[in-house]
This record gives sequence, structure tokens and C-alpha cells, in this order.
Amino acid sequence: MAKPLTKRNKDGKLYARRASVEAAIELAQTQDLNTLRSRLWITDRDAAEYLETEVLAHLMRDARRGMNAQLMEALFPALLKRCESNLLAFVPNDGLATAGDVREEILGRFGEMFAEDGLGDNPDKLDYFECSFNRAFKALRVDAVRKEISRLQHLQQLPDERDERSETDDEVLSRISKAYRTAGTQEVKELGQRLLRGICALPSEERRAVVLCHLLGYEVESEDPSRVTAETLCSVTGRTIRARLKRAAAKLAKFEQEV
Amino acid sequence: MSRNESTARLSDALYELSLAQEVPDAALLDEFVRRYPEHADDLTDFAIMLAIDSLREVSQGDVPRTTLAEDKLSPAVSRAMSRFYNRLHAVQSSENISVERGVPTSEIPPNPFATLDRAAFRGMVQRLNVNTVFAIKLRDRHIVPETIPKRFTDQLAQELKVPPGVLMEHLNVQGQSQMQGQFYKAADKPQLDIKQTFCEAVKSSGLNDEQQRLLLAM
Repeated sequence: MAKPLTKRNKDGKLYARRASVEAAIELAQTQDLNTLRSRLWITDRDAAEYLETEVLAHLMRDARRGMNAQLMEALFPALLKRCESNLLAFVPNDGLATAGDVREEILGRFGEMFAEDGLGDNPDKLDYFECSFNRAFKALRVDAVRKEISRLQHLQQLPDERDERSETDDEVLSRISKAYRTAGTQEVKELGQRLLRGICALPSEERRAVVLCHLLGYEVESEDPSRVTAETLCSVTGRTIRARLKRAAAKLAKFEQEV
Repeated sequence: MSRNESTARLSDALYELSLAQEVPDAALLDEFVRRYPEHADDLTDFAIMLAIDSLREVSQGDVPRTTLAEDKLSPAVSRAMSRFYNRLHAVQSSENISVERGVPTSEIPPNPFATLDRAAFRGMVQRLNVNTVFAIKLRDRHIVPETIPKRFTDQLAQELKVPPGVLMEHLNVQGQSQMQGQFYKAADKPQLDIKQTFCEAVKSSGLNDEQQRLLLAM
């Protein structure tokens, strides 16, 4: 039986692996190295012999705990290769000037996490990866990208933005908002393909306003001082938020026409 | 709360936020900000990036499946492997040091370069396809060991006829060593307190383009 996870979620409950992952781990633990090797490089997720990435993460942690060098040598390249594919798709060269460096840093940091597993101030951090590998890896990836964007912004300070008066957001922002809440539809896919680069290319304050108000669903401002709004999160007036949204909408509409 | 504890707490918060829902929303972010008020700014920035990333995810669909065979690992994967093994070695060394407290500190790991005379050193330099400057940086621990690719340390250990672990112990010893005498031609000996990354050392040792390319591809 696989070693139980020890991390707890926001409600205080222990994280758990999916039943399919538990079963696959149990089976894999009975298989010899050659059989496992033959399964590691199967990439067809519908194939019966395909190993889910959560299973690879568990087997690698287990090999690390037992210092099983042969198993680590076999497992880790396959696991890292999957991570690299993910990074190439989600940290593309056209989105960030230093994308290659960021991808490499994420991959290297991920490698080091296995060496440090069970040690230090956060010994069971890899539990998240056995529970839902994609979402945990997404957290690692997004955190690294946001830190890099912040570092680059420090290097190249943007000029202060002017306040502009506007009462309405343009239609393009409403469509972004609607599409985000109906994930998985063809509309979202098409919209994402058209506008994602545009959103990423916005100045940081405008991008922040668009995401807070139109993806996460915050109000621009509120009469109730206890409410968290885009105004309070950005520490500016509601008028400034609306001005940023207006500028962003104009840029996105123009971008959409050009694509 | 110590800085390390605070960092670990933030790290947990980010993973929990990512695992909690397919895509984040205002209610989820508010909940996390209430639980981790000291990290409100980081959580907000993270949720914004997470939302953009989710949009990218749904617009792209599934991640393209890897098609590369096992023997065609990219340099990035090879370097990540190296970081894993180097970190593993460092972790194990520090564990051993903790366990063996009380052992005299004079027990410094053997220097595997010490057995080489001038001719043997030059032979090693040639076979590794590097130059003397670069080899001296390695020997004298002027290169951060965690940044040296595993493939290279394996080759070097083979040349020195020692297990990779013994070589890594030498490279991980704090402070730089200096072999006396014969290898220095310049009036000034190398600086003792500056360490370079493997990449920096490759680029600053007078290696030719081809040598640099091969080393950086490891």
C-alpha cells in the first residue's frame, strides 16, 4: 500500500490520491524494473499501461526514500520530460523575454524538491503532486513566472499612468468574463487563442485590473468599506481602475482586430 | 515566525489555492487572504497569474504529448537531473555531518586531484576537452558544485579514478583549495573568495567556441 499523504487541505482534511492512482501505484510496486521501464515512456494516456504522472511522482519519492539508484535513474528522466513538455506549452517563448531561463529554473527547482523530500521546513510538499500533479505543477510554474515578471518590471519601470474618466467597460471585456466562467467551450478556446497574448501584453496595472474584475469577478469598488474590491486590492481609486479597464479594452479590441 | 517558516507557509498557501478549484475566483481568493493575511499581496498576484494561466490552459487544450525517446533527453532535462543529484549529495553530506558530530573537523575528504602530477593533469585536461584554466577552477573549487552537470562530474570522476561521491565531497568542501607551486604561471594566484557557476566558468576560461558549446550542452 502507498504511504499515506500527510498534507491537509484548506478545510483541514488530509489530501488523498485518486483511487485510480492508488491502484496504479499498488500494481507498479509489484512490477520489476524492466516492466516499469517499458511503461515509463508510453505517452498515450488511453493506453492501459500508461502511468499517470501522480504515479511517477510517488514512485520517484519512494525510490528517493530508499535511495534506489537504479529506479531513480529510470524514473526521473521520464518525469522531467513530461514536465518539460508542460513548460514548453505554458511558458512559451513569445510570452516572456526570459522564458527559456524560467523553464530551466522551474525544472531544476522541481528536481531539487525530490532531493529535499522529507527534510527541512516543508518536508511533505511533494504530497500536492501525488494528489493532483497538474495543478501542483501549475502552482510551481505560475509562482516562478510571476516572480520573473516582477523582477523584469523592476528592471524596466513603466511610466505612471494617467487617470481617464469612463463609465463603461467595452464589450470585449464582457466576453472575456463570460468565456472564463464557461470553461471548456469552443468559444473559450477561440477567445483564449485570440486574446490571451493581448492580455499578457497589457501593462501590468491594466492586466491586473482586467483579471481582477473580469476573470476573478471582483467589483471595481463598493460603498461597503469592509468589502474586498479591485479598488482595495490595487490600493487606488475606483476611477483609476475604470480608466485602466477602458485603456485595456481599447488595446484588446485593437489586438483582436489585428489577429 | 521565522523567515523559513513564513516561506513554507506561503508555499503551502499557493499549492492549496491551485489545488482548491479548477479556476480561481474572488470568493476563493478572499478566503485564502483571510487565512493568510500576511501574504495577501503574494496571494493576489498569484491568483491573477493563475487565472491567466487557466485561460491559456483552456485555450490550448491538452499539453502536447512527449514523443522523445529515453535516449534523447534535452539539455534542460539533463541539467535538472544534475541539480537533483547535486542537491541529493549536498543533503546527504549535511545529514552525515549531523550524525557524525564529534568527528574531528580535520577529517577533510581526500583531494582526488592530489595524486596527479603535471603530465597526468595535462592528459586529463585533454581528454575532458577543456583547458588548464578551466581544470584549475574545478580542482581548486572555484565552481559552484550544484551547477556542474552530472554528466561532466561523472566523466571527471572517471578520469580521476574515484567514485562520483568522493569527487562531489571534494567539490562541496567549504572554501577553495590551492595546490601549491607548479600550476601557477601568473604573478597573482586566483582569488580565493569568488565562486563561479559552471556556465560562468565555461564562458570565462578562454575555452574555444566548440568546447564551450559541448560543455554547456551537458
